[in-house]
Amino acid sequence: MKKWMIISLFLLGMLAFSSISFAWFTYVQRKSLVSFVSHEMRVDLTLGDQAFQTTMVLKGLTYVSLENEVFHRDYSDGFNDVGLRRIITINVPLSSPSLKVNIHVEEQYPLIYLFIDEGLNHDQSTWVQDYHHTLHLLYEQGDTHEAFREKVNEHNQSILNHIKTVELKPGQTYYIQWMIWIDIDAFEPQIIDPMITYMIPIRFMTISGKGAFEDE
Amino acid sequence: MSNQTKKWIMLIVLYILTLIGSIYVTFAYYQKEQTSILVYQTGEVEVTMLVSFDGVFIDQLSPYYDATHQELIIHASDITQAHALSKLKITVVIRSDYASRVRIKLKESYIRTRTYLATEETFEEVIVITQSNEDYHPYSQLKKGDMLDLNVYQDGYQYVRNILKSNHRLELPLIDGGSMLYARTNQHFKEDIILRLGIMIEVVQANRYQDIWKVDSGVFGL
Repeated sequence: MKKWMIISLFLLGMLAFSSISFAWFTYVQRKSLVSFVSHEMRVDLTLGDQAFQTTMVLKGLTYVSLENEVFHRDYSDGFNDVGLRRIITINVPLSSPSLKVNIHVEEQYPLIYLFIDEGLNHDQSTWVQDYHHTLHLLYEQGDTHEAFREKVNEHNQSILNHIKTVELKPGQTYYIQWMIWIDIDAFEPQIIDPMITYMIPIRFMTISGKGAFEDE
Repeated sequence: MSNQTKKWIMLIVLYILTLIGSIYVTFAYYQKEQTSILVYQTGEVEVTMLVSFDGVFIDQLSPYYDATHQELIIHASDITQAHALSKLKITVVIRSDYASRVRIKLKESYIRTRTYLATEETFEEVIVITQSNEDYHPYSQLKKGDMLDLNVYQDGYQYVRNILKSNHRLELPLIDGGSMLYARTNQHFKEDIILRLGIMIEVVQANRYQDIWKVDSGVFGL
C-alpha cells in the first residue's frame, strides 16, 4: 500500500510540475532588439496645377524669332509673355524617405526650352520673370543660330544635372520654371502652321536620397 | 591556423558579402521611373460678341444682322425702332491660349434713304460724320462703353493698350448706345438713316504685332 502511495505521489508531483512548466511557458515574452520600419519612396510631380499623367495636352505654343527678338534686341516686347510657361514641382511627402530626382526631357527641334532653377523657394514673386534677359545674356556677338541653341541646351542640361544631385527631404518641394517657344527661324520659309503639334517625352527617375544616378 | 578557425573565418566573410549584396539589391530596388508624353499645341483664340438692343440679345439669325456682309443693321434716325442706335450695346469678349495683342476697327456706313411719296422713288446717299467727341468712337455716333481703354491710332484702328495674358479673358464694353441722327420727313418725302456696322477684331501673339501689323509700340499709347 505504502509503495502505491509513493508511486501516486510521484505521478501527481510530475503532473503538477508539468502544469507549472506550461504555466511558466505561457507567460514567456519575446522582446525585439531592433524594429525595422519600411516606407515607400514617393514623390508627387506636377506640371502647373496638374499631376503628371501618361499623356498631357497643353495649349499655347507660340513662335519667336531668336535672331530678331533675342540676338538683336535687349528688351522683351512680348517675348516673355508669349512663352509657354509651366512650373514643374517635385514634392516629397512626409511619409517618404529622402530621395533624388533625375529629369530627362527629350529635345524637339525646333522648340526652344529654357529651364530656370528656383530650388526650394516657393515665393513666386521673387522668381525669374525676364526670360528674354536670361537668353540674351547667353548670346555672344557672332554666335550662329545653331551655336546659340547649343548654348541654351547646355544651360538647361547644367540645371538638370544639378537637380539630380539634390537630396530632397520629406516635406520639401522643389520648383523649376520651364519655358517653351517655337523657333520660327528654323522654318524656311517662315511659314506659321497654326495647327502644329509637338510631342515631348519627359522621364523622371527617382532614387533613394543616399544613392546616386549613374551617368546616362 | 587550424582548419576549424579557417572555416569560421570563411563563414564570416561569406556572411558579410551576403549582407553587402542584400544592401545593394535593396538600393537597386528603390529606384522608380515615370514617363509622360506632353502634347504641345499652338492653342486658340475665342472671340465672342454680345450684341443687344435695349437689353434684348440678338444672334446671327436676327433680321438686324446681314450674314452675307457680316454687318449689323441699325436704325440711326428713328428712336422708336427696336434696333435703334441709342439702344445698341456691344461687348466683345476675347480669350486666348497665348499672350496676345488686340486691335479693333469699326466699319460704319451711315446711309440716308429718301423716298418720294408721290413716285415712290428712292435715293440713297452716304453720310460722313465729321465730328469726333471724346466719349464717342472716332468720327462716329456710337458711344464708347464704360472703362473702355483703347488707344486710337491714325490708321483707323483702336489698340488695346495692354497685353492680353495667356488664358485670360478680356471683356471690352465696346459700344454703349449713341446719338441718333436727324432725318427729315415732309409732305414730299420721307427719310430714314440706317447704320451698317461691321467690326474687325484682330488678335496676334504679343511679340509678333510689328511683323504682322507693320506698326511699332507707339500704337498702344504707352
